[in-house]
Amino acid sequence: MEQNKSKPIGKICIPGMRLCSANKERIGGPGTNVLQGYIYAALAGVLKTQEDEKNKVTVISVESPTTPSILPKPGDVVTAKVTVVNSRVVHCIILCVGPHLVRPYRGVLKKEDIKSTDKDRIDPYKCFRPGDVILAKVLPLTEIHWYHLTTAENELGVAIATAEGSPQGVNMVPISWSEMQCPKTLVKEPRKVARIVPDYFDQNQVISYTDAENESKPINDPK
Amino acid sequence: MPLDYRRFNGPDDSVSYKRFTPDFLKSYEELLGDLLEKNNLKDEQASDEAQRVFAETDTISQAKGSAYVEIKNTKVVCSVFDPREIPHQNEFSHLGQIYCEVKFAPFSCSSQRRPPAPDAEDKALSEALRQAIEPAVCRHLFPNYQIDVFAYIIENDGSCLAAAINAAGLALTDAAVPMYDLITASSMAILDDKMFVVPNEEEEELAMKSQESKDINHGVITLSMLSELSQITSFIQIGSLETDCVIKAMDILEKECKELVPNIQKVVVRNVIKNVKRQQILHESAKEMEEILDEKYNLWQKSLKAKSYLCFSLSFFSLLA
Amino acid sequence: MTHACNLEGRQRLQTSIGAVLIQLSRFYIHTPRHALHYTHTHVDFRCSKYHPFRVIHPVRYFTSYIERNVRPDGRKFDEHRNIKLNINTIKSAETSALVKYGNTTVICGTKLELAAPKAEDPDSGFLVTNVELVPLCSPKFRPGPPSDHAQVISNVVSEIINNSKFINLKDLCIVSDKLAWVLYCDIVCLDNDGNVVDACITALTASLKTLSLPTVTYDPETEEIKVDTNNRISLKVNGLPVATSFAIFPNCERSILLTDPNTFEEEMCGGNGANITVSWNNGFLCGILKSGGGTLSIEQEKEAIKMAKERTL
Repeated sequence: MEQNKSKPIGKICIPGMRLCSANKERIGGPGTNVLQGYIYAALAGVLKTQEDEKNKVTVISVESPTTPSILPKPGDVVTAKVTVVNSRVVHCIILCVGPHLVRPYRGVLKKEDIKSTDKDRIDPYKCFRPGDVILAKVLPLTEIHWYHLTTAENELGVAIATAEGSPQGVNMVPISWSEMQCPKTLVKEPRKVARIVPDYFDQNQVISYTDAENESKPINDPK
Repeated sequence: MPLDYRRFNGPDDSVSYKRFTPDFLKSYEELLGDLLEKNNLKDEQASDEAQRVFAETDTISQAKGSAYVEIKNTKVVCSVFDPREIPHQNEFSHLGQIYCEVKFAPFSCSSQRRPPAPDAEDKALSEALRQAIEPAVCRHLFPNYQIDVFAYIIENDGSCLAAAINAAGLALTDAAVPMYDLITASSMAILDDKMFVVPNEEEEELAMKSQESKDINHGVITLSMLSELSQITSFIQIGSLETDCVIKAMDILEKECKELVPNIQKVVVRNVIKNVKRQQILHESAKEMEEILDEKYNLWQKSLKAKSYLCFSLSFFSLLA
Repeated sequence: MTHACNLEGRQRLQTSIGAVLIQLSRFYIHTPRHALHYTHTHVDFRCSKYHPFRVIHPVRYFTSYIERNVRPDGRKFDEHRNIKLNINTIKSAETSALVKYGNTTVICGTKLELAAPKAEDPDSGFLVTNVELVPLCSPKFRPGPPSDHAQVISNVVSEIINNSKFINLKDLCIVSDKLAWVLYCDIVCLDNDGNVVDACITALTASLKTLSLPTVTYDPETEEIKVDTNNRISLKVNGLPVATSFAIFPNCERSILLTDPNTFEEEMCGGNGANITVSWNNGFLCGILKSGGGTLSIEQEKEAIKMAKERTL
């Protein structure tokens, strides 16, 4: 069979290759399929074996070096671009699933899934604008053609946004968890900001935010 | 025929100059005689037809997966795109769908120029291609989505469906679409007691022509199979053949398909090695970037700590006050 | 950042902030978000195609390269991609040419047919050029009849060839008012990575240059046509038309001309193919087409014309 044992690459699998028998100790993972008691490779790629401590099984999987044609699964963190915002839902296009680029899928973010707190008073217009790049988590599939998403976590929300009227490519900088500011025009806009490592920052600036915030007490803090 | 307003059209009554060459006027018998004579000159090469297949993956930069296959003079390119939503469909389909389109280049056939608009043959080939590759794809993994497979025949010199199936199988593998097995296909033209494995255009054309005077075996068979699983995914026979003849042909074609497999495997392995190497380069650069990011993260953390200390001291002082 | 503090009361956060942030960093190291930082620090051409940032925020991605006076694929602004030409690979066509501009692949195949000339123009033959943008060459094209974009490209190519007088249609006439050659030139794009027009012109000229016509004898009384394929005369051609396309990127101070743009650059500069196409033949301009994209000063247009001319020499 076609098994190149060159060290840096590992074992190469091609679709239809019989990898091993499937039993209680060995189960097929992603990139494989189980037929009549055997595990077969379904992708062209590199063989990976992983021990699952909890169930005491070895998961046999095949990893494709090119991005596999994956679909978003519930629980995946996706990067999406907002297309439509109305009073009830936010529509977006899913661009990345985890670190992998995918062909655009449609996602929808319901009003009550935007934040975990204060669900009654959420206003989608104050959280997202069309064109924003957001991080969101996939919810279980309930509808065809739409992936339901949620941003009800601190780490999820707007990652990149451009202020209205600013030229494309000038990103706003988060100044609080619910507000962003354009560094060029100094326009402030409300957003549901994701808590992530910022684009640019220097030590002095971070502290100066605190100073500014202490002077003018939380404007946008609903608490 | 309605005029195609979206393309430039030549004069309506233009005919290929080949109609006026002496070759064109040859009768069936003459052509048959020529063909047999030519075949006698060639040595028996039925067994090494599999060696004459050239295949390559990753030929189209814009597609997710692509392949180029050359069998004799037949040249086919095929590209596969990512799954996308099925347009205009309301029902939930549990199996993903495959959309196939086979097209001939206008200059692909040696006789007449093909009009660029799709005709019945294109549609029939598209459907045949879809039926051949559908059983090879793990369709349950992408419910309600559609994978587009486009095959384009640049030059047609017989057995173009077999070439298209081989190309589509490779392109799907290149696009990392989950598949049960590698798919290979081969075709054969039968004329009386002669069997032409991987026929060229002349042989195919002659075998398709029905002889009214004589009642003899004639036809073209294309067979595609999953060799590792020993399953036949499609069997397309055009013409009229005796049962014994079909069974014999199937055995030969099965052998041909199996012989093709190592060839295709080599191409796939080469493709994997290339991609893994590229991935390694990507990983290296990603690592460098992650280091930079880690540094940045540490800086961020430091400044946050400094800030929280400030907050603490401020609130402490305010408490004191 | 302040919003981190606001979330959970400051006092509590002070003790747990370290733990939370360590978790956070691991969480985000595995999400594409961290890709956003990369472009500020690192330029690597090898993996530019697979960069998630290119999809997430294309404008920023592109400008960060342009600011460094380099294009995402590592070329200078006025640098062409490698051109590969392969002639007569297809046996079923009369002549054929395969042209590659970087990744862009175009095949031109010619077919010869005979027909009666048009009544209003009895001494001329026909030259029919069509460009097919088949759906396999790019995810943007859908199956079906040619899109508007495909028709525009088809039209542009045929205009350039007709206006360059590359072929004298009178040469294609065999017997006045009775018989003339019809030259079908079908150009198929197999891989659309930008700048299709230039590639089409190159493929077309290459296949026409190698074309030879069989000799035809026509009997005016019996209207019998005899074609002798063994005796061929090569087609007369005039000069060598060359088209050069540019994309115009509207930068802050002045627009930037990008020679031989690829798909991504075309997308960044308006979206519908190259923005300006200049064609020369024999020292004569045979077509300038400015379609969409950024504005262009007269000096820059002159520069573009000069650059295109230099290329033909």
